[in-house]
Amino acid sequence: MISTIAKNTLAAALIAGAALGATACGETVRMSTPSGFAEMHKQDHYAYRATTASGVVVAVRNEKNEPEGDLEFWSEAVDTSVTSRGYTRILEKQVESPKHRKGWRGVYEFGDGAAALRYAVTVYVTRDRVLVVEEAGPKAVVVKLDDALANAAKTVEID
Amino acid sequence: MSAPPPASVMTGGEAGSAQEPMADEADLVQAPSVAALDAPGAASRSEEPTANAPARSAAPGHAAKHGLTHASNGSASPPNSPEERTSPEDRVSPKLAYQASLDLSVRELDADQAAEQIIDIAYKRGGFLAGRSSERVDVRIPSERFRAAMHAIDAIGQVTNRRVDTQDVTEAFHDAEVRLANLRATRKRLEEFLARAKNIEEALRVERELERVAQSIDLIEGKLRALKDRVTYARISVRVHVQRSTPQPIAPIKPSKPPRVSLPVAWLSELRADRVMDLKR
Repeated sequence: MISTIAKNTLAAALIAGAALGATACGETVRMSTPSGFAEMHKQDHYAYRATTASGVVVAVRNEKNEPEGDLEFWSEAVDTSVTSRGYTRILEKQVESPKHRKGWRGVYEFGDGAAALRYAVTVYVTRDRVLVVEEAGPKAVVVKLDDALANAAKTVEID
Repeated sequence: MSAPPPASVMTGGEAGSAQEPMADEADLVQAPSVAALDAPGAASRSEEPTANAPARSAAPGHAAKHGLTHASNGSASPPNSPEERTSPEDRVSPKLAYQASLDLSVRELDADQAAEQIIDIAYKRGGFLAGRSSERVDVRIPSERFRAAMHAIDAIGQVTNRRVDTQDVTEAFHDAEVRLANLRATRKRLEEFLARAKNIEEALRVERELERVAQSIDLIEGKLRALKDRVTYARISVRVHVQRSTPQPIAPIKPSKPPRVSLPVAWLSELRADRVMDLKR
């Protein structure tokens, strides 16, 4: 019962667990750590990263908007880069954060059978920064967390 | 009549014999004319080469007596009779002059390059360049290599027009040699007459005839040289046409995959599941 309730309220729980991400160039990246995830500290390449015990990982990159592009430019750049490495995109959609920041989300799969991976990328673009939320894990596990991960990705903000 | 005869002539006259009769002017006029070489039909192969040649001779016996070279085979035997002069050897070795005109269309070469190749073909076969203009090149090829040269020129491009003329100059050649022999014989007799001239007037008359005969000899010798040249070297005239190829539209290259722009953004290459999942990095 508890488990069922937990599943139904996973999205709300994710948002509720706010966390401070790593900073780059003085900015602070914030994201709500999903329930069941543990935040990883001292990340060199990520502003934020958290993982489940079963190996589902969510991470945030805080990159320079250089070359300076808009959401369309960076979403296309990300999609091109990911698919060029053999990932198959199974979903893409426009997303919007609670603070009405427009974003783009693409969901990909890689490999077959038990080794298949699910990989999702959500992109937000500010004037100076590009925030990239990556979610990855075994496909069989990630599919159960799709909604929770998608909602968590919407909570990314930069101050 | 006012000028004395040359010393040599006078000397010869003094030393000569008076037994042979002096040829009159009419006999000398009958000396063969160079113009006869150009008479129509003179070079036709269908004619018997030399059957009527002796009749034209003012003194055929003299030609034989002085060991004149036979026209066709170059042997030392004098043509004493028509039978001898139409021997099988004469008939089986006709003197043929080849001349070819070609229109050659080339695609890969320009006119100069094609002309250079034609000239090379001539030189390699012992021939030479006879003339050249911007679009035309004339070469001379040893007759025995005429066919080989034609084949080689064919290979340079596409022959769009070809004309090959073969002229049998056996008769003309033979006639010229016989006439030359006769003229030389006449000259010799005139020299003998001159040596026996009894007075200056007679000597001057003979001298004038000698001069006329000498001129005829020079002309016939020139004609013979020209005939030999035509027989020895065939002429090939090639007009070169450069065929400009129509530029073909360049087909667009169809890449197997759409081209990708490689953005100079390092982190894009790090977007992959395994890297995110590697918590040690």
